[in-house]
This record gives sequence, structure tokens and C-alpha cells, in this order.
Amino acid sequence: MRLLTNGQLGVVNAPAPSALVLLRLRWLQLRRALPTYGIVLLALAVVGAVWLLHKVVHQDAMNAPYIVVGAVLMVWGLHQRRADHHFLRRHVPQARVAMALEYSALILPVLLGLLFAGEWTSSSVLLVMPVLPWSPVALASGVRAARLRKRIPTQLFEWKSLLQSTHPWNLLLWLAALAFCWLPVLPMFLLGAIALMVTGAQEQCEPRAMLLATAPDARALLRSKVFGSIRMMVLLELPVLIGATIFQPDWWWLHGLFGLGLLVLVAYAVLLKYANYLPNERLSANGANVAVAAVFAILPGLLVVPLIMLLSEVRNARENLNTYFHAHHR
Amino acid sequence: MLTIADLHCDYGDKPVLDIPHYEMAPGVHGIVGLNGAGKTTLLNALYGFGRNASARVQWKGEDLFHGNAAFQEAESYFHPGITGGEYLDLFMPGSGANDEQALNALLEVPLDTLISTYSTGMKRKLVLLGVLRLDREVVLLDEPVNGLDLASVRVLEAIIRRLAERGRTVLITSHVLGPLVALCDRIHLLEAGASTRSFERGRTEGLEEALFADLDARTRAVVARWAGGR
Repeated sequence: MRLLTNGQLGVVNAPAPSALVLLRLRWLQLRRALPTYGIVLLALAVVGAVWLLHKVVHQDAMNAPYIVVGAVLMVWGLHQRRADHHFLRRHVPQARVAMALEYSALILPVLLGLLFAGEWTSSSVLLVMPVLPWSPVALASGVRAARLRKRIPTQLFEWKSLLQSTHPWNLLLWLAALAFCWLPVLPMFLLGAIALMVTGAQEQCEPRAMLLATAPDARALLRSKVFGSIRMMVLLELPVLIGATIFQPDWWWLHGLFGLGLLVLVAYAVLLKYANYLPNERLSANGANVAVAAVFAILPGLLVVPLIMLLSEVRNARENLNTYFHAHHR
Repeated sequence: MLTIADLHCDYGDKPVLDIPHYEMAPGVHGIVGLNGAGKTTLLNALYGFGRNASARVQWKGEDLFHGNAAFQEAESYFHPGITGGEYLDLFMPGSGANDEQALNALLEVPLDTLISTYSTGMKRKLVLLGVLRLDREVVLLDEPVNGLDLASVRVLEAIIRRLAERGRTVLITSHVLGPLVALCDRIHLLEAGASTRSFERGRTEGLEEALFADLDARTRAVVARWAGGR
């Protein structure tokens, strides 16, 4: 890749008409990213795209509205998601005009393709593009599933954290489990995957301040965490298991045992976390124990194994938490 | 009255803190000392976080614990993937609950956004809001002005004064003398793991000398040698 010379870089510092500053910036970025022949190839690709677009619209005029709507939504999405809104408004005198020119340049190949195909009506819709920078922008806070997480109890912050890291895929997984509950095994498999994600979220330990704020003592904390997680898991499982049982009524006992196994697995992961709790630490080693418990939890008849594992951790978790709640070292 | 008795802490063979008996009346108490004097270790030991510490700490005849004390640690840690508001919701308001929403109008912590996007100062302010929400009798603040901008320091000073007016006992550690001298009813000098002297409000002359006497002497000697070699 060929870098720009100091003379060329001087363009950045040269006083530029404010409305063109973004276009000049993109051109500079392009020059930095691609060698000359790369830019020529890119230009040829754009010409090819315009020709292809023209051909597609020429063959079937019904394609034009879809292409226009797609282009408008794409640019609108770019405008909503761009991270430099604040920066541009503070430092570029004509920020909105600059953005309008940038979007116009972006949409130009589509406009040309439509015009060559004689689609004047559809292409006129693209004239909305320069107005986009004046539309309101919903600046994203980065918080995922904001409404869903409000329904999760305060003390189950691990679940909120899980939503933050996996949304919307976790929701899609659950919807898929529900949608395919007429199939014999798939919904169970998908529920198992969700349960493993839930157990994975129990590996991160909270700081001491959050631990002490969650409950007045170890017993209350374990009760709220374990039963809270079980309640959440029941809400996830029940619709899928009921649906699966409606379609496979003979397997009611299998579905019941499987659902119970997942509840035990999640409860075990919570207890294991507090049995080994260390402030601010990630207990990655817990994953191995949870994996062993998971193997037994999904096998009908062997549920007793994770159940024993769970019960053996109750005392450990309580004793470990007592050192933080009652400060026995005094 | 906050009573500290038989407070010992050591890291292996090295004793860090040794306070046989100490009493603190309600009000604002500053703990000052050079690095390694044991300021953070003292607050950890008082709150029961000191792994190598033993002590009998009582507030009005009851053991001091998280039910009657709140602690802002020097380092701010949070569970990942949660917002400031979700963190704050964990802290159940105390009986005389402070309106931390009103306070936040001054501190300007964006409670609806993820904590991972916060600056150091915002994280410190969020922890402070949590501590204030608990509304405990004893408030331990470890280096509370670290990372705060000037405006937030002023707000913090006003908050601490109000806590003292409400009869709370506030212990503050800091390596910055200015705010402590202005704020504290009494400043305790911690040297080599023991409280050697304390200074009342308005009578802090000699504090700087007592704090820096040894350091100044060593600095003068080293600088003189360093300059002599050039």
C-alpha cells in the first residue's frame, strides 16, 4: 500500500469548504486504503454495478421500488448508527449539508442505474436522501433488550449481563425452540443451549459491594439467586416443553425430566459460583464442573448425579459467603 | 462513638497496622499518611474486608458490619454488562433514604447507559451514590476525590458536611491534604501502621510538618547528593 506524501496530507489542514469536508475526507481515506490501480478497479466495479442495476430494472420494472426502498433504508441506517454525530455538529460548521453530500455521493450509482433504465418515478424517491441529516437521530445507549431486562429482578444481574452479551441471538434461539416444538428433539437441544448460556453467565463474580447489597446474609442471597434463576428458567422452558408435549404426548415424562434436569443444572451453576466466589474474578474453571453436570442432567435417570453435586455445594456456598457477610476473621 | 480495639494486621512477617485502642466521635474524620502507611488497610479492616486483619470494631456498642456501615473502596469494580441504574437498584434505600436521584442531577452520572462506557470519575460517583443510598450510620470513603473533577469534589464536600450534620460518622482517607483540612472535624495521622497524632479542625498547624518531616529530610539529602554529582 502506498502512503500519502506530506504534501498530500496537507490537504487535510488546508481550509476546505465546510460542506465538502466529509467528501474530501472519504477520498483521502480511499487513497490511503487502496493503491491507484485499486481505485481504478473500484471505479470499474461501480460502473459495472450501475450497468447491472440498469439491466435488472430494465428487465422487470417491479424491481425498482424494492431497490429504492433498500437504498433509502440502508442510508437511513447508516445515518442513525454513525458514531460521529456529536463530533460533526461541534466541529463542522455545515455538518448537516456535509452529511447530505456524503449520502448523495453514496446513493449516486443507484440513482444513475434507475435513471438509465428510465425509472423516473422511483428515482425521484431518492431525492429524500439529502434531507436525511435533518431527521431526528435516536442515539443508541448500547443497552441491549432494554425493555426485556426491566422485567428481570434486580438481584439477578447475571441474567441482565447475559442479555447484554447475547441479545438478540438468545431470543432467536428461544423463538426457534418454540417454533420447532413440533419436531421431536430439536427444541430440547435448543433449550439445552440456552441453559448452557445461562450457566456460563454465572462464572463472573460481582464485586463485594454488589454482593453485600444483594441480600442481608448468605442464606437470603443464595435463596434469592437460586430460586430467582429457577423461576426465570421455568418461564423459558415451560412454553417450549408444553408445546413439545402437545405434539409428542407420549414423551411427556421425557420432557418433564429434561426440564427438571436443566433447572438442576442452572441451580448448580449458581451454587458453584458462590461456593468458589472471589470478588471480581471470573471462575472459568467452574465450566468443567458444569459440563459434567450437564451431561448427566440431560440423560434421563441420571438426574440424581447433578442433584447430588448441587446439594454438596449448598454448604460450601454458604460457608464461603459467610466469610464475606460476617467477616469471621475479626 | 466508633470504638476500635486490638486492631492488628500483617502481611507475613511485616506488621502493617497495630492500633490497641482508638475512639472516634460522630463527625468527619480524615486519615492521612504517606503511601504504605496503612490507610486503605485500616478502612478494609474496619469494614471486615481485611484478610490478614483482626479487630474489634464497634459502633454504639454493636459490631460494625455492612448493616450499619457503608464503604466506598478505592478501586471501582462492577459486574459487566449492566447499567448504572441497574447497579444502583441493588442498594436498598436506608431508613432515612437520601434522594440520590436529586443528587445525581448534580453529579450527572448517566444511569441509563452501560457502566463499561463510564469514565473513572463517573464510576467513582456511581459507587458514591450506592453508598449514600444505603444511608448507614458509619460511612467509610477510601480516596473519594480520586478521579473526580473539581465540580464533583465540591458536591462531594457538601454531601459529606450534610452527613456530619445528620450525626453520621464519616472516615475519609486521602493523599490530598487540602480538601481534608477544609472538611474534617479531626485529622488522624497514620505512620508505620499506627495513629501517632490527631489534629482538630482549625488547629492543623504542624500537620504538614509531621506528615512530611522524615520525607523532607530524606529528599533534601538525596537531592543534595544528586545535585553534587553534576
